[in-house]
Amino acid sequence: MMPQVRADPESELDEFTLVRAQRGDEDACRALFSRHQRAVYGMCSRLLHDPARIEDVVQETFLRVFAALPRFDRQGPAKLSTWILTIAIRLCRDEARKRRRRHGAQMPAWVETEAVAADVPVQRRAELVAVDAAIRALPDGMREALVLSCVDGLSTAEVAAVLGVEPGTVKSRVSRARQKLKATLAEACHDR
Amino acid sequence: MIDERPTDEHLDAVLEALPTAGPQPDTFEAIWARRDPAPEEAPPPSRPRWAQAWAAGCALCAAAVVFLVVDPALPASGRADGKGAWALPGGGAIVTDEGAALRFQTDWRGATEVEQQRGRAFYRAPPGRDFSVHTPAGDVHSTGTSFAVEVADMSSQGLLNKRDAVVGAVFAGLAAMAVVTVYEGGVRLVPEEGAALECSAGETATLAPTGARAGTPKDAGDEQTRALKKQVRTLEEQLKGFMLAEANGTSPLVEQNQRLQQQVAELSRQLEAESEMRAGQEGHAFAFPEGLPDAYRGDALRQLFTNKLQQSGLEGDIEAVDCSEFPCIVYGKAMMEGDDRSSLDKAFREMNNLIANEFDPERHHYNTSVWGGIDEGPQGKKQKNIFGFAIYPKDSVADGDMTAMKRRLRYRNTQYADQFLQE
Repeated sequence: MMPQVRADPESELDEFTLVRAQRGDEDACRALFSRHQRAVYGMCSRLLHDPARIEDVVQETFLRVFAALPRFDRQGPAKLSTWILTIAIRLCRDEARKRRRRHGAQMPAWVETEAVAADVPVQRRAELVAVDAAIRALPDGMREALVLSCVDGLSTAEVAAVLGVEPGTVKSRVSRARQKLKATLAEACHDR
Repeated sequence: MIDERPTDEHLDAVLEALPTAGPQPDTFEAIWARRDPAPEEAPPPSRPRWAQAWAAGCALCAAAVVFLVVDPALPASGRADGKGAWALPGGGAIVTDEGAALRFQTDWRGATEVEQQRGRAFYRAPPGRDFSVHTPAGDVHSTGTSFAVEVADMSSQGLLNKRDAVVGAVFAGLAAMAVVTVYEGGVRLVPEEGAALECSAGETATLAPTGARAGTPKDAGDEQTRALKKQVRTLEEQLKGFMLAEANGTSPLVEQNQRLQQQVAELSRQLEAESEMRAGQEGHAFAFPEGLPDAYRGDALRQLFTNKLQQSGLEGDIEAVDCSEFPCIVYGKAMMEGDDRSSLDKAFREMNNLIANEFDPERHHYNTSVWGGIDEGPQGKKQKNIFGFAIYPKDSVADGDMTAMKRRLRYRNTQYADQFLQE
């Protein structure tokens, strides 16, 4: 069974706050943003090959979320978090496509990275660096499934809903992605 | 023998420990400021005019019934200046809306004559008795019916909405206009000029001194719009023919001139878009904070990065340290085999961490690193990759300025990359 690393039982906004957010209440929208921004930011930062515009994509995601929020069906099949991530992933894909179209192979791919915290043990730091690089090197579909499943902690059904593919496809992509990451980890351990 | 392959738990632990940065503290404010203002409460879907009139008529009928029950002793003549309701002998009724002005009289035979000056009124004609409404736009004769008449003075907006009044100007030179909606039976519309028009249940007609026609003023306006569009199409065809003739005939410069004009227009659009984009991307320069240690400045940074570049095993050099504004950015180049992005990424991250470790972690230094490479060139040949590092104390930038700082760094890096591409 695939463990979910970052599943957050309180990831959904309470009904009352959601209703207020749907009516355009600023405090409620701020609460919604606070609750979901990390998942969106984390996903975008790992899906965009060139995350120089991550901040822009995150902002655009929540702009669209707030604009469409009054039409979100609270009783519908989609959870709010899944719905938000669906919007975000589409924008990430658009951004990646635009980037490729705009610059082709000519433009250097600027990548902004955060340094791994200095208090992380040296051994773990090497693994983090290796795995982070390996995630970036995965094919788009595999990376999306892995990030949503193992990093954002969505269930297989939720990942399938966000990506618009069958649950079986999600399982297969995540499994293959994990195999690749484990191979990378083995190599990193061997290097030490 | 011990199996050294990483387990799922091991991988999950690494995934969980991956650093994830969130948006800057002012991101929500930036989003909230950019969003469209809260939309006005959406109006309910508009129903067809006849349906609105039907609903209004029903409501007025209900009001009339209430009135009749409350006060059965009703006059056979009266005057209305605003909202009101009257029962007529023989089972008829007149109900007026706000803004309506009329007077009526029922003679000994039971025939009713109404003079309606303005506004909206609902009528139920007594069965088998004459019933006429005279308006400035013409007369409406009932043939056993219930109907509504809405009279608008064209010099004022009356009860017609602005659009109806505007498109209603198709009846040029009108002093007044009336819209008649028939709910039951039928009516006969008699304008001052032109032929009379029969109108039956469910229909709406427009009455003007110059004529009567089926439909609302909007319908008439739509008809005129269609006619105008047709004229425009004809003119466009003529113009196209004329220009073709010019181009093929005595003036070959016409086509060239048009092409140039289009190019100029396209370039202007591009220039405008470029200017807008540039204004958004450039941001503003940051000044060096007072008391910034030398470790964050040119020579010290150059020395540090040169050393760490060697330690990381990357083949490359530091090419420039840009301290024209805060923070300094160290630019360099690194050579890699082919297009091995994964190795390049890994090497740079290691170098990034080597540098971060040189600074006091208690001060929470914020570290941004950037790198890039040109993908072109034959496979297997060494590629030149460029990189830029900026490192600065996190507390040297206010929380609210962090987004602007990142934007500015991005802009500076892009400028450097552009120069690199042009070399």
